[in-house]
This record gives sequence, structure tokens and C-alpha cells, in this order.
Amino acid sequence: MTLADHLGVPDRYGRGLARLLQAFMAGVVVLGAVRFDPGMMLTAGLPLAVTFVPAFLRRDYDVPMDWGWTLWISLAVGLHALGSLWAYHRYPWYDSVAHVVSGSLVAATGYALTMAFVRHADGVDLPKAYRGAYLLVVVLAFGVLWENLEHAAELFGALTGGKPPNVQYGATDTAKDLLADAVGGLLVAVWATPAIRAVPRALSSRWREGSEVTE
Amino acid sequence: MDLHARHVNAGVGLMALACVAAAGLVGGDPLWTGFAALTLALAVFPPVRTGDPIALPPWELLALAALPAAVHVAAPGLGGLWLAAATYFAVAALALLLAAELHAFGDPQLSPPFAVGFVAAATMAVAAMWTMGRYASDLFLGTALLPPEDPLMTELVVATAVGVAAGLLFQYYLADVVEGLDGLARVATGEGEST
Repeated sequence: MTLADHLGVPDRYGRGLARLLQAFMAGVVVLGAVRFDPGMMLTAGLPLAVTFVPAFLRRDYDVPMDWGWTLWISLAVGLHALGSLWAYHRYPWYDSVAHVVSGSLVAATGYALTMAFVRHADGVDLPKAYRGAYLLVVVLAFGVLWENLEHAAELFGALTGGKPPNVQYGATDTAKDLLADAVGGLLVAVWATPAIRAVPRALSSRWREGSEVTE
Repeated sequence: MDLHARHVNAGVGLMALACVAAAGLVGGDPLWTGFAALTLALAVFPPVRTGDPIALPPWELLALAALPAAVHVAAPGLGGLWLAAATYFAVAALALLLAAELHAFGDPQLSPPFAVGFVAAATMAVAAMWTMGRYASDLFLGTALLPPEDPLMTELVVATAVGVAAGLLFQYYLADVVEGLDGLARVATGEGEST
């Protein structure tokens, strides 16, 4: 069963929602262009680019990332883009919601990649009992990286005198962001791992094919 | 490692552990005590598990774990940034030790590239957990542990930089550590011969 199957929503609706989110981000990019606001274009454009990764992997590398993945990524990056453009300023709890969603995505991607390595390489094994703690480490490490990037963006914005794309609201918000990331990761560790399994299987068999061809 | 070398290793390692234990006991700070306890637990696991009292992990790792205590004692006036860097190096060393022990004695199998990534990620994750811990403590226990935004961000950057640097540094070292512990593990399970 793929991720889309697990979600139990007809393809039409799932794909439609993903497209809607992508269209929204594209609209913001256009709005940014019209307003000569490169910060806005970047804040929406970069996430939009990321939403095309599943389709790219599916088309060019036969990795079975169906619309379920596109929707997940679109939700995560769309929420963050909407947040930094508007919602953070309006609703202080919004940031936590966005981080739960992106934390879950990071855990899912980390899980898929790791399990692909486990299947493919000889020296790597991660028994079930250890996966939860491992995913938590991955998610928190990425969360710290994200906070570093936000901080760098803020410093850069201050240096260049423009408005920084993401604004940090203080130490407690950073702590709450990391907590939300962890919650997202835990949700995946507990619930979503069976839905993700098709991806590592495909990745590892592709890698095996690739290394057989070069031998 | 031959017997003499192992004795030397154990001797130096014990000295490092003594520093860590002293810092934990004398400091009066529950954080240092917890850190010391964790270090000691990881350090004595191979001897306990193999029944060989001199089967301590490489002294270099234990010395790294003792580093923040040494910095704290030797130069108490030194800026918090250096202490933070030293502390996160110690965390990285413990992460490496944990990864190697899991690989040698436990079920997971971690190839060197993975262990390197794990060291970096674990160091950053510890920084995140410490941040969340301080936040929760402030919230529920009324403490004032969480620093303001800029010092906190700097600390997270230091943890990231140190974690990545340690991971890269350790990759040259890791194969030896894993091999050494693996050898001990095999002796413990009766599979290999002792040297």
C-alpha cells in the first residue's frame, strides 16, 4: 500500500488539494513579482519548488512517491510560507501547527532514506525498537538546523537593511518550535511508518540496479 | 590492542573518569551530575558486559567527555561560549561511544558514514532537548534557565558546528573504536580470542 492508499481519499480529491496548495504558492510568487518584493517571491517560490520533488523522483527515478507525498510536502511548506507571510503575526500558535506538520515530514523523509540504506547496504541495520529514538534525533537535528537558518536569515536581513523573510519571536518560540517538531516526528514514528515503506523498497532496488550496472 | 596498551588505556581513562565524577559530585549542579553519571555508565558498560575490568573505551573519548569539567575548573572566568563548545564536544564524544557500543554489543549496525552523521545529529538533538528542557522547567518549575534569544541561537549554532566538526573528525577514529569494541564484544560472547 502506498501513502495515498493509506490516506483513503480518492485520487481526484487528494491530487486536487495538492494542486490547490501549489497554485496558492504560485499566486504568491506572482504577487511578489508584481510588488517587486524578492523576499516574498523567495518565501513562496522555494517551497513551491520543493513540492515538485516527488513528481520529479517518480518520473525520472521510478521512486513511488504518489500524490500523498506531494500533498504532505505541499501542506508542510505551504503552511510555513503562509505563516511567514501572514499567519505568524496574527496567530501566535500557528507556528506550532506548521512545525508539527513539517516535523512529521522530516521524520517521514528521514525514515524513508534510512530504511533504503538499511535494505541496500550491508553494514547498516536499525531494528524496530530503535527507530523511534532515531527518528526523534533526526527530527530534532533538522529542527536545530532550521532555527540556525532562520537566525541567519534574520541576521542577513538586518545587515542588508531589508525585511527578513522569517522573523524569530524569541527564545520561548524557538523552544516551542522544537517541541512541535518533536511531536510531528513522534506522530510519524507511531503511526505512519507502514505507509512510507514503498519508498525505501524502491530506492534500495534502484541503488542495487545502479551498482550492478557499474560492476 | 595488546595487554600493556590496554592497561595504559584503562589507566588514563580512569583518570578522565575521575575528573568527570569529581565535577559531578563537587559541582552541586544536577546537570553536571547527570552528565557525569551518563559518562560513567557508558564508560563502564564494556568492562561490565565483558567481565574484563580493563576493557575501558579509548581514553581519548573519555578525556573529551571530561573536557568541559576541566575547562570549568581551570578557567572559570572563560566565556560561556567556550564552555558551551567544550560541552558539546563532550556530547559528541558520548554520542560516538554510544553508537560504537550499540554497534558492538547491541542489535543496530552502524557503518562509519552513518555513525558520523549520528554523532552530528545527536549533538544537535541534545542541544534541542536541553532547550526544550529549560523551557519546560521555566514554565512548570518557575526557573529562569532559558537564555534570551540571541545567546540561545548562538548556543544552537555552536552545537551544530561542533557536532558536524566532531563527526568529521571522528570518522578517522571511528573504525578503530568500533573494531576495538567489536573485539571485546566477541570475546564476551565467546566467539573470538583475546589478545
